[in-house]
Amino acid sequence: MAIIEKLTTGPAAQGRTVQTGGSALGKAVAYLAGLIAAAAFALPFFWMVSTSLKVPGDVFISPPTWIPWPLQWQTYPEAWTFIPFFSYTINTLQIAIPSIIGILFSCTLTAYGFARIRAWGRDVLFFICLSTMMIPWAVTMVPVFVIFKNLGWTGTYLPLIVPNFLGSAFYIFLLRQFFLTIPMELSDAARVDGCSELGIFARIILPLSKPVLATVTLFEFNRVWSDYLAPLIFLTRQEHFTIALGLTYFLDRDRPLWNLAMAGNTMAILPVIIVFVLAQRAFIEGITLTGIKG
Amino acid sequence: MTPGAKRFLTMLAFISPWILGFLGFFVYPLLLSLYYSFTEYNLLQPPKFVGLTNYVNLTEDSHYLNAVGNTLYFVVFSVPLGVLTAFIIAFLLNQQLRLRVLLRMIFYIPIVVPISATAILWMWIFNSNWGLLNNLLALIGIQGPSWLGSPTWSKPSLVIMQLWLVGGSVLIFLAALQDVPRALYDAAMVDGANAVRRVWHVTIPMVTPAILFSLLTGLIAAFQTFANAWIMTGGGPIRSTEFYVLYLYENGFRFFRMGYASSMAWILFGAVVVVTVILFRTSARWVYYGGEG
Amino acid sequence: MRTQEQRLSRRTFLKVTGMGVTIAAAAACAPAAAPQAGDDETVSGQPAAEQIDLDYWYIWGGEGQVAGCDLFTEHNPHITMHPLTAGGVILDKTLAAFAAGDPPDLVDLILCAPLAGRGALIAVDDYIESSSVVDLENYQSAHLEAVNWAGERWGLPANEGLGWLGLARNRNLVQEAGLDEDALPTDFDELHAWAGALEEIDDDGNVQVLGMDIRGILTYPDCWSVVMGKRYFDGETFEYNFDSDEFAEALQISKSFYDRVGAEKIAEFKAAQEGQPIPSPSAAGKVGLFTGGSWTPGSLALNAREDLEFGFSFVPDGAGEGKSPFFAGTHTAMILNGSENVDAAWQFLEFTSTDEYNRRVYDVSGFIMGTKSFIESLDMSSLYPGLDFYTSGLSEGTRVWGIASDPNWYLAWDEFLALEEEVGFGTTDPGEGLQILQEKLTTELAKVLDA
Repeated sequence: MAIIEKLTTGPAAQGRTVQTGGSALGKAVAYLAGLIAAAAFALPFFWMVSTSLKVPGDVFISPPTWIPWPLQWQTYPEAWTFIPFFSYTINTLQIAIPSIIGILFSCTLTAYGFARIRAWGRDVLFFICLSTMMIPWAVTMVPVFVIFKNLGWTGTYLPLIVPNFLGSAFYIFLLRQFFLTIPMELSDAARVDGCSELGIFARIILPLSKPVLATVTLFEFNRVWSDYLAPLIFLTRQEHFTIALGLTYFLDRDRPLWNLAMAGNTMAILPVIIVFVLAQRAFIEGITLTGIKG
Repeated sequence: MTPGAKRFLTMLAFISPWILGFLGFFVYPLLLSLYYSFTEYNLLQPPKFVGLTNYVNLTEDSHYLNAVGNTLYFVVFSVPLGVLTAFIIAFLLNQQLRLRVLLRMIFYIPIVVPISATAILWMWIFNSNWGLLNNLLALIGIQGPSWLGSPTWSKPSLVIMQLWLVGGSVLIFLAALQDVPRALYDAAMVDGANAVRRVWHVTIPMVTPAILFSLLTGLIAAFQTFANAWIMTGGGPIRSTEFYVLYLYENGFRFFRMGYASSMAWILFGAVVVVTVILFRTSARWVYYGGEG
Repeated sequence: MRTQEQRLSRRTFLKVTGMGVTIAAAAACAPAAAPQAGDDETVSGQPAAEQIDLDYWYIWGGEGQVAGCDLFTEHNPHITMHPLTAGGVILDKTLAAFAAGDPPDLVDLILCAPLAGRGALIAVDDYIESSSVVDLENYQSAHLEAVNWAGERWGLPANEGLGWLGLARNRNLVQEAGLDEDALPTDFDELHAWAGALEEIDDDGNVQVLGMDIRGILTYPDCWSVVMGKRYFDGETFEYNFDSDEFAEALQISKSFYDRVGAEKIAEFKAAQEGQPIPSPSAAGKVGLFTGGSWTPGSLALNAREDLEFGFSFVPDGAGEGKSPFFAGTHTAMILNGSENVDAAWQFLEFTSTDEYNRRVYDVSGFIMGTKSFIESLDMSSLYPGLDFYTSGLSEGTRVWGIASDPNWYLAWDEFLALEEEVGFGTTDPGEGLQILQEKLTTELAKVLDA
């Protein structure tokens, strides 16, 4: 048990943010590099917000004006009512929340099986799992559609939700990589103590994986939020549409409204930002597991 | 029951969600698309078996071979650069910086903002006359090219754009960096290792599982890259950004050649499987799993 | 929508589109209940006693069609329409649904031949003949070309009643250059002269103003067909005519405009316009002359700098006959083979030809639909400036053609567009490229005819 306590007790047990750079100069360089990079990465967002606050005729002026004046705040309420923003948001949540639950449920279990149980055939099965990512969706889409049709699911949210309860190779792989880094001694010791495999999974591995679980949650939320093709293909009623589909209505060929489109986009990403901040809290809390003493 | 059999059954129990999903939603589509690849299939009429015709025709399709070349270029440059960039950013963000969460969000946000919404911004960044990029290059005395207009520079442009989209890998590296035991750094410090050596001998080995993940998923995604070219360049100029899956998709859903598209998909599948096997075989030498049992 | 309105009324010309109706439509379904499996019994095979549900997918123009569909249901209470705007990937969605055995009843695409040629549509000639509502004379004959395949009609031009090929000019730049707007270019030499007078290249070789953007709607092979007076595809003899002097000439003309400023500059002006409704450099006032369709005046009115004015005229005749070429593209509604309610679907199709339907769609969205009688009832001069060109062009044009009834239209478009660019860059010889294109399309056509 000594090793378990050494690895898992106390705030100093795990490095969270660490000072690997040493000198003040190094730190200054790091800051500067970080700020320049951050400015570059903030550009798309800044441009989107800036465009949302322009009058239509200024959208295409080049070189662009970065700070329009006066700011056209009313684009936001206009965008909110131009498409049924609220009900599309609710629709998307109705897909996103069960999808996240499904992913967290199915992928953690599967990844645990692939990472922590040394059994015959495991690596082959894992490779088959990975290979499901390697065939372009374009050619499997139609057969998948046939399955959903035979199940009577077309026109409902089920095709967008249920598969998430049955694993997704990307997340399984991601979680497996993280589960593999957790010292095996933890599991062995727990087994000696009579803990079941499910108990080890739930009480040791999952609590130690908070950052990656938060990452998976964020990724899945973002994926559902921005998914365009799958909802478009599988939904048949406009009133069931998701926010990503609704956003395309601003740029109708006959009447493209760029400033409203950007206001819509800006509003649409707010939920993702909220989930991001929440997910980062799991990062900050880090791994303060107090061990499995006993 | 032998312990081995018991372990096998336990594993099966844990991976059963995926097995159900695989049997329910993958086996049939995979086999069907394999069958399509030996047919002439326009999605509207029943497929017509043509044997290996599609595969033979691919070898003579200059647009296909061009798409293969474009895709390999994109994979070779965008994947390693992406992983490297993501690691560096994650490493910087893992320092005790102020406004850490805000900074992390900034690096993630380009993924959240749809490319369709920022396409015009990218055009301005890459514009040869008044673009941001060429203005910066002019500061150091370089006359920048016509990025998106030139068949030579269009692919590098998309590689550069791709670097904006590393926020996901950054988060994965950040999550991995959380797991590096502090004790290891302390031990390295005691041994007198300097900062660079600590990174090389402690940080990097400990995040190799995340590096493998980023590399492999990056490769798989890059082989299937689609949206950027679809929205930004439409495959041009002169097919210089016509990537594999772009060409595949057009064949399947625009040109009524789903059989042909399926044969392309299976060749891609084979190629990616080979690359993955090689990567996994070699990974045993450089990936360190603390918990490998 | 208040500011939008203010801005529009400030510009005095603009019809405020029916955004209120979108909100009403939204309110009607908000908050949308989660759809459950089994909700759609009528669609999935167990039709309820009398009630009929029809799925109708179209590409653009959302709320107008919703209102038109509602109007139809007012007249036919037992038929509920389920309209859906699918945007630029409508073909993909339709193909996937059809292949999976779950097609909509009606779909709206720019032409019928690709689906009709592959057995996916219901021919409507008999319906048209026995209809007391549909009057073919009331459609532009060029628009009707879009519904043809193999001697039969497979739909009606339901969703667009104007034309698609105009030469747009930035009037500010034209006036600055001292060009005479009463003597617009009538052949490509004159167009070159105009382009030369308009283009502005700085000392570093940067193109500040592009004189003539040759692509735009001219990437459609159909547009070159009418400009050169040679149809790229003959729907009666099932022959492609790409391998011809006329198309070689068309590519040379196109190339000559690439050569003015260099192919890379032309390509750069195109980047990031893919899938976008208007060429943004044109809206930015960076292009003197460009080509566009009936959507261009409205798009420019909404998005271009406020002080910019645009004029529209015929693209020059490339055949040297002094004619005014005009391309009459449209959107056609068609009934899919597999619809369980073909008669009801036809009833809707029929309804789209009425002035009442056209009027409702227009009142709500400003979308100008298919029929002559309805268009005559509109006062174009009160709409977007320049839009009247796209109406009058249909009657004033002296060579007005519709879309080729080509089952490989999408392939022809994509390959021709790429070829045009390759010739522009000088990497492909026009003759050789056209010959390859011709062979490729002929091979694909054989598959269609065999099946």
